Amino acid sequence: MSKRMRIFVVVSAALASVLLCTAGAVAQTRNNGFSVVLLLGETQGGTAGDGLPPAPGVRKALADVKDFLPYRSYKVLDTQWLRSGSTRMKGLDEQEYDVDVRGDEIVPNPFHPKEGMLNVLFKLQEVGAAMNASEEYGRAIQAAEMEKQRASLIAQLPNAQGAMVQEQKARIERLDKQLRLTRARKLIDSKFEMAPGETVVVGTSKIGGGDKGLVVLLTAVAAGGK
Amino acid sequence: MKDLKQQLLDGDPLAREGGWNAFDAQRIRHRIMAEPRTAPANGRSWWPGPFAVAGALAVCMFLAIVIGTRLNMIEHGAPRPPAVEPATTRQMQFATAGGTRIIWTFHQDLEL
Repeated sequence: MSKRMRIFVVVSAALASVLLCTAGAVAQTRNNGFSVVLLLGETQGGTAGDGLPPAPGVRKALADVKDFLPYRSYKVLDTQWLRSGSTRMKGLDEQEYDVDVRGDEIVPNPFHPKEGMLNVLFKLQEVGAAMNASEEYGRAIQAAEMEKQRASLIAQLPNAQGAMVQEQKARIERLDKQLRLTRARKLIDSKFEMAPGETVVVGTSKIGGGDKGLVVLLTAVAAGGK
Repeated sequence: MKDLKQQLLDGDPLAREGGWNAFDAQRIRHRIMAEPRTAPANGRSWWPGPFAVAGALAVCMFLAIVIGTRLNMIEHGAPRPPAVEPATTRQMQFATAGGTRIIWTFHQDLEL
């Protein structure tokens, strides 16, 4: 091997080592997971933020958004911590939600000089939500059929007697549960950037606000638990 | 009568010059023999040098990372409309004075 070739090999190996070490250092994520607090915001109600976690970031975020959101009270439905991936959270009236959080660290570059920034993909859907549009279409037809059955059962209820009443009510309850599953849908599918320790408020409601809204306080927990 | 060829031969100044002396001939011979041995050392090689190659490689990698990250930002940076119900949902992002960001999705007929 000539002298030039040896120098070239040594320089290339050194360069590759530096790049690998840099990539490895960056890959050691500074993010320590996500804190997810699911709240129900209501336009009616008492004091805001009952039962909220004591984390100052969470309380500050809620205080910040009070003037922006129409809700007067916030009730904690569920709280979870996850490093990354999916979890199931409890909602109102036995409704459950599948929550999926993915965070990829952004490699610092001239456009993103700040270290530790994350590209976050956040999804929240009712359990059993349809995976695609064609499945949704099929479910819409099923739901319409169930609605007819339910309306028929309710119409028959005044004429029912004795044990029939309980049976009719039980059937209506079962139909309600089936309807809930059939109508399950994706509620939030958002992508955004987060800094370590930052709390972002992600939420959903009816157009126009409605009288209730689902509010998620998502905190990127930095290494050290901040 | 002299023809043209003869006139040219008669007028050639080299024909009247003597040959090289032994010293000049030896000097020129030495020069010719030495030239091939010295030429590679003095001449420029096509090889640009390992540092230049390493530098170019580093610049290429840096540009690739920057461009890749930029493309990723362009692809994912802006808030996307929800995939499932584009006609009935709307998403907006805004920030409060305190710096907290709010990302809100509106559904046409959401009942909680």
